Amino acid sequence: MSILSFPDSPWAVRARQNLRAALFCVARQPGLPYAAVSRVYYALFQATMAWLLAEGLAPDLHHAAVWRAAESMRQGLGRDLWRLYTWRRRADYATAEISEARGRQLVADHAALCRELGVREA
Amino acid sequence: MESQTHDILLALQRAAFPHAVAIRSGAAHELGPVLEADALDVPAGRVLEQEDALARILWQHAFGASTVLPGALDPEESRRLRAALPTGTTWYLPTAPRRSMS
Repeated sequence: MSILSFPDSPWAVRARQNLRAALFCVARQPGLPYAAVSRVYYALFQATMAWLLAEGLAPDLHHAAVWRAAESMRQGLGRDLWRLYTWRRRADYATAEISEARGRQLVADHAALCRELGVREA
Repeated sequence: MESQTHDILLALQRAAFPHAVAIRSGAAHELGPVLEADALDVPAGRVLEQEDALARILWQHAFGASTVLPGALDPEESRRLRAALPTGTTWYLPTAPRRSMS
């Protein structure tokens, strides 16, 4: 089962909006890398939740529990979310800087992953 | 030294990870206690690649008493981090390659 079968599921709707927001933030001039990285983390987190639920899993909403559930179902996905969380901490809690170029790269890489999970910005 | 940090150091040594890593306690409100493990002085063009390498080594040790959060910092970011590191930071330092005697 795929989230393409449930395009209007609550998690898929949120993932789509956050993916659009992330793409908008990196496309504008000057870019908004902090906002973009925060949104793309949530787009991927929500896309993952939508996908896990479509696959019949109901993980605890604790972020680490979702990463581990994702990794058990698709190798590399949980690890990608886990890594992206560190960037999201930089974005939201000022733990370090994020350049515009880095923001664009992170959004591009993780937008592609969202699309693989069945979430598209359109 | 607490056991999760010890396991991380062993994993980095076994993998011969090529960059210094600063390991220290922190907190993330969604996760509770965390161990931040950042590779330092990574060339700017290789930050994501080396962060991925570090994450592959640390994933199996990521969910213990604390959640481990991996990262990689370029030289300028590393300089700022070094100036702000808390007491109790544990360091992994890569072993210099042995020079051939022949």
